[in-house]
Amino acid sequence: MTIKQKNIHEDREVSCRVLIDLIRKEEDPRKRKLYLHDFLSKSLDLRETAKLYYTLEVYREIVMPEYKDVIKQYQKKTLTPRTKIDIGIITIKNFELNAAKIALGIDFKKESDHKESGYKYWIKDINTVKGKKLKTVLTMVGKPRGINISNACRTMFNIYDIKMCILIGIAAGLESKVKIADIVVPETIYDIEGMRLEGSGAKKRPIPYNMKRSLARSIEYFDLKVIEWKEAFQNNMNKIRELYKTPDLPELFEPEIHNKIILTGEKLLADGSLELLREEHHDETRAYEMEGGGFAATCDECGIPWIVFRGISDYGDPTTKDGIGGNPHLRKIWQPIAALSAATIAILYMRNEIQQEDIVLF
Amino acid sequence: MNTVGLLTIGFGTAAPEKINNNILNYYEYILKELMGFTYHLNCRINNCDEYSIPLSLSDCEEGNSVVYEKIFKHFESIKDKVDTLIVDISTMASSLIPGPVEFHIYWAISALIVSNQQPSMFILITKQLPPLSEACYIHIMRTYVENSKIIILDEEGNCISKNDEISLSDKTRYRIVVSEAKGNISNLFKIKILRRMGHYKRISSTGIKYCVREFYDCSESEYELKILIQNWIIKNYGDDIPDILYHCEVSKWLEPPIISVSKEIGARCFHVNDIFRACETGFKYELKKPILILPLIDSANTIIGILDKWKKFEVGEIPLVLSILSTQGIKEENGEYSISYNGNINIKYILRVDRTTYYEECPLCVLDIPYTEYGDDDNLMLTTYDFWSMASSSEWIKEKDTPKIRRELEYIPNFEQLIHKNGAWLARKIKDIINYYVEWLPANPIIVVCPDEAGANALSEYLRVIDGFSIISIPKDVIFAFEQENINLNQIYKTYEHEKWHIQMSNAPKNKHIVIVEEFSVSGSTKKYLMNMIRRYGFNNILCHCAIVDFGGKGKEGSIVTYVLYEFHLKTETIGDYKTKEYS
Repeated sequence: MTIKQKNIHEDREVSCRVLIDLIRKEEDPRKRKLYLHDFLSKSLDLRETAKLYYTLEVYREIVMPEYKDVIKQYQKKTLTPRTKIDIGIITIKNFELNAAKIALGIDFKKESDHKESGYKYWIKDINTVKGKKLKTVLTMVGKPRGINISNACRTMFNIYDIKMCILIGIAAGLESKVKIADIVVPETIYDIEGMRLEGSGAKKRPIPYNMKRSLARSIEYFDLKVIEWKEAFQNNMNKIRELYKTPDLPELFEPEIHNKIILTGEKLLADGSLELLREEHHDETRAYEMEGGGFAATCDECGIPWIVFRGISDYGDPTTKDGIGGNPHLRKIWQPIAALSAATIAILYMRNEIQQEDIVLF
Repeated sequence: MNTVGLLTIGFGTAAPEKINNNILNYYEYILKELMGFTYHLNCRINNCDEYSIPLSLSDCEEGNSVVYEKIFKHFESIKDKVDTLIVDISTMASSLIPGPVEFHIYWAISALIVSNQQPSMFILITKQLPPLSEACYIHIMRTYVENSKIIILDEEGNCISKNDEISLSDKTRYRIVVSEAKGNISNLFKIKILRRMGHYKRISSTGIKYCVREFYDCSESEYELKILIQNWIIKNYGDDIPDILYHCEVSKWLEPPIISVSKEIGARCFHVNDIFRACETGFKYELKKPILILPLIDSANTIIGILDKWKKFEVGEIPLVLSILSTQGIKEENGEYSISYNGNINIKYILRVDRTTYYEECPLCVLDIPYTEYGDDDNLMLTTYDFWSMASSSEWIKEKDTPKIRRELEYIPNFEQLIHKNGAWLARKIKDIINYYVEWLPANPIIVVCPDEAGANALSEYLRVIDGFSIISIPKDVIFAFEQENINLNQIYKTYEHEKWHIQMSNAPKNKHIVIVEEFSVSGSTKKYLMNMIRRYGFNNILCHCAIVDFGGKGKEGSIVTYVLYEFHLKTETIGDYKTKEYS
């Protein structure tokens, strides 16, 4: 499967390098001023280390000669280019991070490979079934909601040169269509939060985010009936039980992958209204969560293909359906299992369907 | 004196377009050749303008009645004033399928003939005559042909009339007249070449690595290229059809026109590598007067590599070499020069172009700018290096045609020049950006509304030529009249009744999608007033606003977003606070 798409604009670091060179070579002060405007507006999008490096570089071009040496002393000799990563993996909560670590084979005790702005990053190579390697980086947002995942994604994209991004986590599922630990991989995420409030009632303004068609097709080819998943699934389940008290899944449990619709919004669903939301918005709704819209929007803006893997942990109704027997104290009991189900399937998908040489992001 | 009216259908257009003098001359030529000197165009007699009738595929899909209504409305206005009517259905966008469209037209014309005594004669001009024995709709016309009510003529000069009484005596001359009327093929070819800028890696046949700045993409001018190649072969070979060989590794645009030409003239056609592969297996093609066509010759390393292999495999006589584009040679068009290879080999070319090559110290490599993939742009927007390169190669000026509400920008690139040099590529990028953001870009034609300024007009013209958009160009004073929300529209209608833009705005179908185009935006006032004007004229589907640059950065505000080719915002302190007219 080849993942190809255009960027909206070129890498900002490239733009800034070009502008510094233009400022250096240009004698006309009016043009230099315009180049400086351009540089300063583009430098706002740079990662922190690059921002400092290039800003000092441009200062050296515009300050009086006696100050150049002073600046040079504080400037790094070279700027380390962003590490090239095939797939960025992002989770929201701690148990989802642990689930992803188990699925990737990262030791819980291993320190992160990098820290920036409070985020931690673990780098891990995945071996594909064709014997090639995919380089991945894993991180966690920490807090729910679209704005937080958007910030986390942007920070990650500034640090790493990422070709593709995957969100792994849990969601509330539609009880009539999905079961606990099933996985929803949405071909479309509907952000249902937007609306216009009028005296006569709310006018809905949902925003759809569509997965790239080539990726959506690759999910359709991914068939659990023909790949070896049970052993990996069982091994991972055993590991998650070392961390969390979780109930057992039925013995012959087989997770089902649903390539349908996920609704996303800013509110935590805990009133059993998912069926109503399905009637209101889209018949093919299978789940609801809180980060998909922010994630998809940020990836689209940055020109990075994305996929979401959501394990079903509950039905959005803690008083009657979620947990075990509607016991509110047990409403979160399936969360680690659901997260692990999503993570295991996501890693299996990467190993089976994505080849490193096929990921071509211009 | 017989007076002749016009009914010109603009297929694939969204708005009426003024019929230019070249086309009117062409009609007069047809009249003279077919009918004699006593026939004259009504618009020339009365010194008035003629406009085409816009017709889109969705109109035709709605059925006969929609097509008939459009034609009927125009017909009613002229039928009593003319003795003969020219109905021109040959100006269609190449993507449209003529069959269903022409079917509806024939029905409409037959309805007009049946229900009206006047005019007494119809001359129907079509792109290509359908096979008489097969097309069911030609039977609709047959009766009227037999009754001398209608003559049908195509662009090749073939004619259907009663007992073949009427025909063109000189078809060759006619074809030339058609080419000149519809746009000089060579000029159109030049205009439609996409000069994609980037950082392209090249490796010569001797293994030398070097970089080039431009990739010439002729994929938008497939039709023109086909005609040019065909004419070139006919001129140089006559009836002795050669075997056509070609070589294209990255310039995939070369293949379709060559295959098309081969089919047209009945020539055999091979990729030269297929010949070499066959030789490797021991099979040899018997080639007859081979011509080898390449997309572009620069250093001649590629052609020398091919000739080396040709010699090695003992393929046969050295082919005549034709390059579509060449960076060498003195003449701009249809030139030739020699390269040294076992004596001298003559290279003929169709068009001379410039290309920037770096064998050493490539400035883009020094800046660690990634290589560009061939065939399509990596980024929707312009890169910083490309934008400022284009700006630097234009002169820098004070802004012209500044809106009254703000002061002019003191020092900016001459966008008109920038567009003149790079317009085809910029137009293509604008379409790609609209496609990306709008996603469901309508299959039906789009209207571009732009201010009547040199730069905006130039960019819009390229959008028309490259992407088939219809253009309505609005004078600045009219745009700023719509600063007032409640402007008296009747007064506007009265004042500008005969102006081209007003006729287009009034007569274009109101369900068409509109894109507003400017060369650059600062305060967003032109966009705002144009939006007001477009809505007051009854259009509801404004897709977006496009500009090369949005200096003021206001484009993302409001209901209609501005999409730019290069992100570059100047702070208000630099532009000036245009609302209060206080400037720093």
